[in-house]
Amino acid sequence: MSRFRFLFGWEFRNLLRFPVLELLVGFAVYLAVLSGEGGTSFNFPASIGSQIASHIQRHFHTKVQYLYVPMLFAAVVFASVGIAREIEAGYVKVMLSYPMRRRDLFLAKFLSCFLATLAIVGGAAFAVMFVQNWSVSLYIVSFPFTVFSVLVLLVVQTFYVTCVAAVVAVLSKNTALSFIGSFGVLYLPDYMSGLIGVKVPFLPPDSTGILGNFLLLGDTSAFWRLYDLTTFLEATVVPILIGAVLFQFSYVYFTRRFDVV
Amino acid sequence: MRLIEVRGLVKCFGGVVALSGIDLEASRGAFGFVGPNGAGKTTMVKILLGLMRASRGEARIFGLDVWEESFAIRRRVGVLHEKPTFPGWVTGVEFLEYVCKLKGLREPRKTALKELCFFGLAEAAGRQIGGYSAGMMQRLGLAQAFVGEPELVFLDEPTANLDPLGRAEFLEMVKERCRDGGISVVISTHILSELERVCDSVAILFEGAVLEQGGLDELARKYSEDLCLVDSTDNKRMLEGLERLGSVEGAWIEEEIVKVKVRDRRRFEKDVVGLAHDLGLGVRRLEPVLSGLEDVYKQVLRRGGVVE
Repeated sequence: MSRFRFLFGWEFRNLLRFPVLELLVGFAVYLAVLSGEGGTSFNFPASIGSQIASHIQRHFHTKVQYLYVPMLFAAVVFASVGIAREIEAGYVKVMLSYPMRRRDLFLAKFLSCFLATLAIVGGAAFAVMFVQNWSVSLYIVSFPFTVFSVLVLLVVQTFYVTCVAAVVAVLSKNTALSFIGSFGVLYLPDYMSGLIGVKVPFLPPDSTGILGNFLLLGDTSAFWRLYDLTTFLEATVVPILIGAVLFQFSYVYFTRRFDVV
Repeated sequence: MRLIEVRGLVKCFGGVVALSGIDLEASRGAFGFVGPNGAGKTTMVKILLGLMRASRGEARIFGLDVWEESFAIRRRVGVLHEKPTFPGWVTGVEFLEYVCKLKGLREPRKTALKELCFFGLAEAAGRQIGGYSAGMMQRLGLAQAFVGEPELVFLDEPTANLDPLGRAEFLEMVKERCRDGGISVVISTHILSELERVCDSVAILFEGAVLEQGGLDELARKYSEDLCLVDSTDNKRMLEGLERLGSVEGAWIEEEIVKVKVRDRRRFEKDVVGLAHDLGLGVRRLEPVLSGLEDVYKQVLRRGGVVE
């Protein structure tokens, strides 16, 4: 376990060579400036439920969908740089010549990609929630369930995106191919849904409206009602299942079938 | 127990056969793979390290299966790959410390610095690897391969990027380290003079097959049978007598010693003894001319029908 932790630390540090902080600031500015409506109509002591719904509708849900931009971009870049490029450049060959299990190396790489992506997505979400309009944040943090639900959705969908990017990176073993291929695979369900007429709104990037819609389901008068469970399950269980299958595939390929060239 | 045992090893990449049923054995000491580019040397090394899976056959190091027990093997070996790539964003000492930790060595920082000093990188230890020259990179490669005194070190085309002086220095470092540490080494190269300087035994590979293998002396004797040296008390008279023998194809004097191309060596030795007796000459030397590895290599390829 300590060997894995050490390996994970090295991989994560390796990914942080990428300008994560700059990306984070860039996305935060993008989300805060481009997608926002300014100001707030804070009117205490009006109905708190009404205020929350109103503010979320006006500020949060319109922006939260933009989180898919950093999510997709970060996951694809990290997997391409952290996995495909390292295979292509020969780092993986060198690493696997040391007393290191393939399983540990793969898990360390995957986990570092996932967490680095999550850090960017989380940072951007933080910007959406708190940076542009601080008064909205007061309402949002008053209801941790809302924040928690959004974070669960983000974690699950980040996991799915990372799984897609990782499997393409491992199979392609080429940085450019991994970058282009990952976007291709991620947009495939959207493209296919257009062809066959069946929508898959619960997988990124087509699920841009999910977070916003999810938050809007509790409208002004009925904010305290339960959130739509079906939507929530679709947006969490399906990406987890598909992601798990892809993760398993890339894991087995890397640990059992992968010839280091 | 043999250090390396390989039986019927086959590796195919799609329709291309990279290794076609290789059998070989290597004992402790310095062993070399030699062959032209594309002979399968690097593929062989990668399979032995568990980086590639063989299509068929069996390979063992220290008696352990190279694929199933690869982790246990890699705890006991060091490797310098062909054109090695090390992370350019860390310093030499940071990288070597990381390797020490992976190998589970005590006092990783101290060990790393000691190793860098041995390979002449003490001054560059604190510099980022990205700024290293090709020679420094190769030294760092040696340092990471030999750190922790492994039982066996693989060196794949270790001098490919070095100038002649750098090569000589590099080989001296390898020899010194192997001699002092009792470390066995497997070198894969197409530069024959390197193997001759370092190795005790070699395997000659061509297009994925082992054409010949054995100790350097053994191979030299085996492929030197048709050339002998004769030094007698009167080499001019000896030469005249030798030219009349049926077991001799040709003879000449070179550096005051008679060199003879023989047809049948056993018969030749008897004939020379008889001739010396008849001529009343004393024989000071009668021995085959040992071929260098380059001669052996050419003859092996010629006999294998690879070259004319």
